[in-house]
Amino acid sequence: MPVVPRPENVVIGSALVALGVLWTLANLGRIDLLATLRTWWPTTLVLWGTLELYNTLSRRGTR
Amino acid sequence: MRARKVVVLLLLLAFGGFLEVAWTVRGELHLGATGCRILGGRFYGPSYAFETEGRVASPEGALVEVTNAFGAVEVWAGAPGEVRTRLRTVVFLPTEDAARSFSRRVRTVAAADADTVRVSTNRKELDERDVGLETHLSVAVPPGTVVRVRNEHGRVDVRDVASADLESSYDSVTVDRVAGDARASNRHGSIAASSVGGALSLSNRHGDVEAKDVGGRTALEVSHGDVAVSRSAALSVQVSYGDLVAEEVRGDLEVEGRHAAVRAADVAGRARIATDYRDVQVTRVSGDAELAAQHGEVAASEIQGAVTARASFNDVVLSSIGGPVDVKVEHGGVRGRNLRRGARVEAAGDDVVLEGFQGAVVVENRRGGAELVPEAPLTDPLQVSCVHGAIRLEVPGGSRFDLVASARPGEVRVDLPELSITESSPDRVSGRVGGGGPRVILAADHGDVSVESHDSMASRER
Repeated sequence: MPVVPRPENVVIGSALVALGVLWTLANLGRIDLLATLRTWWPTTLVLWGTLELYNTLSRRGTR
Repeated sequence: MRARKVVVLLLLLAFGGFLEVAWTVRGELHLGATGCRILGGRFYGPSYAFETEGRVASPEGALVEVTNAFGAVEVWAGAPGEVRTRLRTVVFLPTEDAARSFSRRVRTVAAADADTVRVSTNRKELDERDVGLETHLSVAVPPGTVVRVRNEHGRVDVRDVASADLESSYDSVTVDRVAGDARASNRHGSIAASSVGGALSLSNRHGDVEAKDVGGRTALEVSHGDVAVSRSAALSVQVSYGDLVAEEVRGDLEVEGRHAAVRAADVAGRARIATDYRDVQVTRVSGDAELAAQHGEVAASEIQGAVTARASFNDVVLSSIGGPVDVKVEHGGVRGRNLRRGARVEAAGDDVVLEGFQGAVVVENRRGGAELVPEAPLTDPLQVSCVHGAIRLEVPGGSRFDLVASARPGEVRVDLPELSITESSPDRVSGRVGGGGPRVILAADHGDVSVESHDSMASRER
């Protein structure tokens, strides 16, 4: 049976990757880190919510 | 919902809340692009550069004063009778058209009166709070010009001028080939000065300082940065939280350090060095040396004059000292080799070892022993007292002295063929060596005393 990753793990991992990429771009002088993070941080909630919905609906479909 | 998810969600919301608060605070403070530049060290986003040039006639002997911010200032010698300027404007805006439009409002301001030519930009008149703007000024001045630069958040590079007075911050300051005096002050950036004909005065916080080939007196005040000086005249340094290396000082050296290691070599005058929590290392000094290190080691070699050394919680190490030696150490020992004009040593906490010394020697050691090996036949007074430590004296052949050795409680062992004993007991021996001479007094408290001839020591080692 395939192992399904926990939604919060996916969110944490994605957030860390995104934070690292944005921080690097800020260090390179390409973006304003605060403005970018402030604009895009709610997408982590969207991503998490989507994964939770997907998991819930998938479980109902398999019952 | 599991507790783990609740924790992650709360952390995520807290992070978002922090970002929103930070964003609001930044907006309330009206930081703008300039504020971000100050806090972050750079402007952000795409940028476009534009250049303009200008010139202004310069009265003979006029001072040239350059004022700038958020950009570099370069000054060098150009043609006589005029000051030529080149302004490179870098505008941080999304499109080239917008940047070019903005750059047209930026210009060099150059004006001359009878004795001063002032060069700056009009950036203060511009409302550039929300636009990243760098103004880099290159200024060619007449040969032999006195230059003054006031800059902030930008590099300063001055060369081939009569004298220089420079101030900047958050970037490097370089001054090279100055005929007369030079003064530079910086914060959060390095300073490098070279080939200065007159006096040099440098002040820096949070940055390294390097000075070389200075003809006049050099005075440095540096905190939170390392200092390197080579080939200077008389040198005076105040340094804290950084290390100093000084080489080839053609005059006196004075150093006042805090949390600073000091290393000096080839000093033509006298050396006066005090520091704490780090070591002092000095070699080849023509005059006297006064050296002090609290919580640090003092090491000196090849000193032609007298040496005064103070240390605590570490040792004093001396080698090849031409003048009298005066040492006091708390919680440390003393090692001396080739001390040519005697020594007075007070120590506590570790042994005193003097090898190859000449002249009168006085050693007082608390909580430690003493080992003494004279360089030549012993004909000068020697007084050694130790508490909680043994005394060992090696006597070269041909020595002449009156010996009084005591150990209470302890044992006195004397192995000298030339000794004529006048008093002998297990804890006290007195007598004459080589017909008598200056007094040699060895007194151990809670330790043994051993006096042996150099020859018997050598044969035993063979």
